[in-house]
Amino acid sequence: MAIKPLRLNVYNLAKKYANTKDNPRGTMRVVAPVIKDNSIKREIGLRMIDAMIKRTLASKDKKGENFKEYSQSYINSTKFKIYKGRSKKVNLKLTGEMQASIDVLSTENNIISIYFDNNEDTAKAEGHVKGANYLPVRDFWGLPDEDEQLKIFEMVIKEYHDETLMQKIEFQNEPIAAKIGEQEIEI
Amino acid sequence: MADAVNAIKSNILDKIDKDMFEKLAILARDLIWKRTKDGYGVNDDTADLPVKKKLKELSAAYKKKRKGMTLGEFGTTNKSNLTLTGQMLNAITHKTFSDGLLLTIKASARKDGGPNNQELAGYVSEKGRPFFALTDKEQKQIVKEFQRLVRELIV
Repeated sequence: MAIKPLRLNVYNLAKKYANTKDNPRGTMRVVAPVIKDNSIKREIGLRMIDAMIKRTLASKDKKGENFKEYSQSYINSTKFKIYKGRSKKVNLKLTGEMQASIDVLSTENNIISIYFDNNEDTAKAEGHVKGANYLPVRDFWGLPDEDEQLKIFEMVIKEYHDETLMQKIEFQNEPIAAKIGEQEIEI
Repeated sequence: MADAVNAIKSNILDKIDKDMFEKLAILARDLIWKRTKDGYGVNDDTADLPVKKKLKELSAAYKKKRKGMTLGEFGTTNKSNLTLTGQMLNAITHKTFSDGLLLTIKASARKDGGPNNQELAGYVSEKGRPFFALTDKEQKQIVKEFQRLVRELIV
């Protein structure tokens, strides 16, 4: 069975983000309209891809474990020497085509869908993810962990919206009592 | 909202500089150099984006001539990868500007005399081994790297 597109529910991510704030409901009220924007969803998806590639280039699989070393025969091959020189780093990057083919395919219905944009690179990725012939499993195909996802989400929200949005979020997190002034009532 | 987006755009444009294009130029040069050394050129269909294509085989007579010669890096007797001495591919160079980059092949003289490296590159392309172009996938890699560098700028 072919590897599947990675799917990220941006609404659920927004809820998780809101839950890290003092006033989740208030934060959600501010954030929910923002994530309806497709360009924001696409940007979040692209940052997820950046993080996945960064992890892969650091020789880590989707669980954060080191990839299995390359075989000596592969390291000795001319192709390997042409593309990688003396580096033996296992980062699933030879020509760079496979990693460059990962893209945000759609952002419909709050789901950011990440996949390869052509069959050739999908097949290459499958070889890594599932292992094939003499190729060991090096499963890089997974979204960043939840902490990283939340960081990315906050970063995009901050960057793509003027300061007033973040002020609104902060405002939502302030105790209501502070707004009432002298009366010490918290709601 | 529009003001905020315009402010971000203006901020990014200010930060895009020659250093960024230098990185992209080195990437572009490497993509062509490595692909060619690996035995691939591009198709010569100019109607669409170039696509990676195996370089035409060497003739039997030329293979025979190469036998016993000291060849350039990654050159072998039978492999068609535009490497006899390696001078032509090593002559790929770049210039960067404030708003872009240019890849060229230097018109440098060759140790064995004859046509210079730029003329030789033109000759081999005309004779059925075009290589000096960025394929569709290579262009995509460069665009993605550019986008990634821009994203880094605004973090």
